[in-house]
Amino acid sequence: MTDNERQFEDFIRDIKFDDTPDPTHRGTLEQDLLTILSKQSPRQIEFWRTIMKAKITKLAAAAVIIVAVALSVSVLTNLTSPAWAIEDTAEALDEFSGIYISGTIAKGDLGEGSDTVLIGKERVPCELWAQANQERTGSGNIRLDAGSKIMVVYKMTTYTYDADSNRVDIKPGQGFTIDPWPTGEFVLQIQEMVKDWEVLYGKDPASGRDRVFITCCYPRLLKSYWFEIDVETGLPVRLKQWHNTRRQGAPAYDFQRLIFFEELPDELFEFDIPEGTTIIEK
Amino acid sequence: MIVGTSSKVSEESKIGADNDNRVSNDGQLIDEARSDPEAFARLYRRHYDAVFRYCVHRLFERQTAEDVTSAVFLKVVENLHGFKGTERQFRNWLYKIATNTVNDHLRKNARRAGLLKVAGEHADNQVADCESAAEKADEQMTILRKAMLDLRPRYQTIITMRFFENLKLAEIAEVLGSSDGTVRSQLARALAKLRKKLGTFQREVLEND
Repeated sequence: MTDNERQFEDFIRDIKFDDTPDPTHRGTLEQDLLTILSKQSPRQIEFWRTIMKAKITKLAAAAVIIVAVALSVSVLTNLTSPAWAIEDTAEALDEFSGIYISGTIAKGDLGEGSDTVLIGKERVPCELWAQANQERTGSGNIRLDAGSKIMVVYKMTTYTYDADSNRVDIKPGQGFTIDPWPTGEFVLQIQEMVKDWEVLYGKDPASGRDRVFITCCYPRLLKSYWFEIDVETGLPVRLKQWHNTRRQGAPAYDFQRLIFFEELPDELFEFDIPEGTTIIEK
Repeated sequence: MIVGTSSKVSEESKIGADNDNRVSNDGQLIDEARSDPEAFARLYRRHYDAVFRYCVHRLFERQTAEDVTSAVFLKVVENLHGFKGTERQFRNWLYKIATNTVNDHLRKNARRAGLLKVAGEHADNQVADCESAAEKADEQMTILRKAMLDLRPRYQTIITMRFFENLKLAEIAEVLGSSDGTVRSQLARALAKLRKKLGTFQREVLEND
């Protein structure tokens, strides 16, 4: 630790608060709590002890615990669940300008903009790399590999390659983008606009890390979502999107890995046109 | 677990004064408190001061801290029957409830921006009149409040627990359910961010002079 850091910690530690408890509030609250306790039936408190003493109930309770663990999601009350707030995620997102996403996309017409339940659709593996533009309003460079197709926007030129037809189309401009970029501000605004926001707490079975699971829907766009957020980092780690408001059927997008980077190098997005490809410049 | 020392050596101020004492004596009292109101009252008195102080250290405001403290103990009353654990786990349980209640308050009231704005205006107003040593201390507190509330809740929690609650890193890790290493690295990042924000707000104050 440097001297400056030590001095700063001493400065923080020496801050004095006006934190002497007020005996009046302490006493008043005590009376209120005792009043509440006296209104609770004593039998209510004993009830839970009694049923837990019964052997069969203990076995049933143990079974519930085993099932909860097997499901890898235990529904805790948010009384003692790990502390997480949407602001944690918002602030975490603002630290990163690059993103990698991998998962699957339903193939064919995804019913974007209509209330669509996808059933039995073939799924295509996909990988996406994206770097925010300077203003962080959307993506700059971006690359999407989906099945036999690759789409790249590199320095304001769009390359669309189709391995099936062995052809690449090259056009000036941004042929596709992530817009808006998922900034902290955007996330907070989205939370205000979506409906049926629900939060569950659990753990990732592989790592044991605390996770938050969020579901919501966006009626205006006829979409619904499921997010998994890592409590410690505040960052989303998995994401699913449906093109209906009820998370019904298969998700249109099922992203199983989200990884964030402070920045992605330009070279990552350079597109090497495969040998023998038909090039169409527009 | 007192930040600073109290000059009041009264029976009441001894309650909650010694963190280790709280931890070692709670076990039997917790069991009794589930069904005996008098035992609950003793448990409450033992922990009230610490919970209130934690709320003040997070919220920088007494009135709000009292309201949140009330909400914390209401949740304790409602859920004590379901708590199973050691004395140390009870203290951690209380910290978790208090942390979540404070965070809920900050979030539901959607006042982070408002608090910052108010704190900023308050800071500007205070600084304009600031002359005496006491007023200088007020100015520092206002700037610190603004900077702390501008941090993400987890960072606020870790800094508060480390510097204002005087918890060891291992104890913070226990409360938050993280590893020591994670808490250590998050504390370092939190302090770096706080330092940067304090510098920014301090400069703003000087420019407004």
